[in-house]
Amino acid sequence: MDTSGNDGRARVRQCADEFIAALRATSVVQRFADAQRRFDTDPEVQAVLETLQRRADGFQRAQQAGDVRPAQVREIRDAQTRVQAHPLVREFVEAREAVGVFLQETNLVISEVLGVDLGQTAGPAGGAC
Amino acid sequence: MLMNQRAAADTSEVNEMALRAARTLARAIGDSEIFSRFEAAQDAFQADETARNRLRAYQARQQELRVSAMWGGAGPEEQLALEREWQELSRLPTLQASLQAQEALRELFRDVAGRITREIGVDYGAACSPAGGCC
Repeated sequence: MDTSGNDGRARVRQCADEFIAALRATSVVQRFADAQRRFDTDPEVQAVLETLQRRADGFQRAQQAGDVRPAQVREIRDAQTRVQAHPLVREFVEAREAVGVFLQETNLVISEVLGVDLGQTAGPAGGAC
Repeated sequence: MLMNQRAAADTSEVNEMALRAARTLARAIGDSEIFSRFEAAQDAFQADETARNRLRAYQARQQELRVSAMWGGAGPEEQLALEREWQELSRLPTLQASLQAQEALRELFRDVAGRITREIGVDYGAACSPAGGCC
């Protein structure tokens, strides 16, 4: 039982912060942080993202006006391909997946101790539940 | 070669530390009042055979309706009857206590998962739920 005199929440928060610090020290999380920083700041990545966004907006406007050109669909697909094929975008996606895999591993450890699934119970952030 | 081996050893050691920190966090959750209340409420509900049977019957009915809805068969009055049954069910003291305790625990979990998500930049809940399985 909790012996700190409160309901144990403060201890949970403290342990959560220590867990986060330990996560930050791992190479998967560091790789992801690097990948995210490059993704966010690389002018080329930002340019292909902007192009995709602009074409998607244009497509939506054309759709509302009932005036979609066949070429617009191809242009969006081209922009999507250019985003997905960019090495920094791929690195970002791969690094994020690797963090997800490691987080699942930590979640398994937590679930084993508690007999309740932390991740599944918490659900995705901003989820409908 | 030696460098790589050392890097690999460091990696597994650092990962091991993160897993240890996860275990410590789990124990802290297990020691919290919210978790003790959750366990007590679950036990009380499990011991309440009437409530358990009614919940099971409700869930079976819910499943039936879900299946027949896929075939376009479930009428609104059947849906309404199910909702009424749930309203009655949720007034059963052991079930009500269990639901409240679950919600309190879920809130604690969301708080923890939310911290991790904000600090690491990857959604903890989404990474750990089976695809689309949050409900």
